[in-house]
Amino acid sequence: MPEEPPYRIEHHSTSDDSSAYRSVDEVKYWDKEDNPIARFRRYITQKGYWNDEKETQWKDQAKKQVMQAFQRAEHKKKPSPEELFNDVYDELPWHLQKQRKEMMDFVRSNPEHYPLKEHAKMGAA
Amino acid sequence: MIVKRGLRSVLYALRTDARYASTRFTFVPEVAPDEYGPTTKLNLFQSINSAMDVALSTDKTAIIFGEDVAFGGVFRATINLQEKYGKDRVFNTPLCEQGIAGFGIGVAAAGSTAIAEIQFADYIFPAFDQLVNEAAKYRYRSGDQFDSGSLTVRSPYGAVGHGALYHSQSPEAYFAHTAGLKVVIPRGPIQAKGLLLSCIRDKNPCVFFEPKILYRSAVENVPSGDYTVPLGKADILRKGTDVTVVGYGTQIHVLKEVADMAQEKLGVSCEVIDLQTILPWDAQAVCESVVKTGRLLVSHEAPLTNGFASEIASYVQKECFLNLEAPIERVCGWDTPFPHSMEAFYLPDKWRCLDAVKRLSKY
Repeated sequence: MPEEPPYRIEHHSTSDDSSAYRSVDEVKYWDKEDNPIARFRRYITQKGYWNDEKETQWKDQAKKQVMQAFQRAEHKKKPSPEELFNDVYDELPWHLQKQRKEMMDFVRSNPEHYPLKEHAKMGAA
Repeated sequence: MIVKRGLRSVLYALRTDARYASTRFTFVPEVAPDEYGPTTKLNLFQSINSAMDVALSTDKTAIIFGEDVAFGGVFRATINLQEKYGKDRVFNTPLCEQGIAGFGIGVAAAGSTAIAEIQFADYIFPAFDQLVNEAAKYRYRSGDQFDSGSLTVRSPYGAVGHGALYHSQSPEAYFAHTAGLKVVIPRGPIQAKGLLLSCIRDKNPCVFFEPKILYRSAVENVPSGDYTVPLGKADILRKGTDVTVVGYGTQIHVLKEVADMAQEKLGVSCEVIDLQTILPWDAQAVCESVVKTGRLLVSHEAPLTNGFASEIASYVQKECFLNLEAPIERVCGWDTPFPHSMEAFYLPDKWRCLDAVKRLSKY
């Protein structure tokens, strides 16, 4: 069984500056010298399974797939508000049925205060 | 653990979503009492930092530890404290909440002052056994020969607009069910500094939940010196005659707005009470108010069933039965995990609270 302990090259998130707690040289080492992904690429290239052309082609295709998925997702609405109560249990117990009704009744009487346009229609399911 | 580290990225060094905060509530800065001395403009994480600075400078045994606290913590609450007090007083722990709490109990039992940080209240549960079975019971089971009273556990908690299941929870009720602990939640920077210093100096283990949405969005002129705000004492923020409205933490800012709206739209006068300490809570202040108004609304982000509002409602029902003019209302989170894309429908927002005030006053 191969074991590949991962090292995070990027910052933890867009709001993280990882240079506060690790050196730039350390990151550089893991990125350039001892990166399991880069090493694997070198290995399969050496074996003749992979080359630059294949890589460019694959990267372009992957980027396209991701962008298309983004686009599809952006046009989709969020789930209907009452789905908030689904999957807490296998079936909706009485108290969640009651709370769901209370939420839906309130939102129906006060639609101007809720982001209903972003969600699938309530009560349609 | 891997899942947890991944999810942390969502909120790592959270930048408050100002748009979100401004639609949900408005933070109105308060003015500190003159006797607390000169002030500096600080937000919530800076005031908490200032409290710990005071604690470490006035108590040579006080230490701070937790995940990432050495470089300031993900919310910057411990920033510059290691530089100022050294690596033996402010230091990182491994990613292990049970270990953080256990170590804190040992430090406290040995006579030092322990200030532990749990990076998110959502991750306090691995420490639950240590806090509930060890910290809370240490004094009782040893007949007061030993205790872990000088332990304070700080942790960011509550909704932020995009935190989802594991960066939004309000777990205060679990701890409020634990004899021996004190549970404290501040509403803003001035109160936070005084309450945190009270927790650190209190002779009982304290859990201090910091409303993380307020870390950057709440700014006040905070007294620079050393002051404490008493534990177990509620604050009456607005005097009123018709409905008593009780909450704590972020929800206080929602409720203050509800009181304004109730006055404007319904002509109903609300008395707004910030509990500040959840355990032991200030039942006297709440009951005195309910005797006057005859109506009570309790509101918190945590789920309805077995939330702390349940305790308040049942206590007030017994003590003030003949004064009540309407059934006590609870407006809380629903009994679901904290949702992501459904947060707007989950929270006990000002509209739901106002509706409860309406029901109370028209009963």
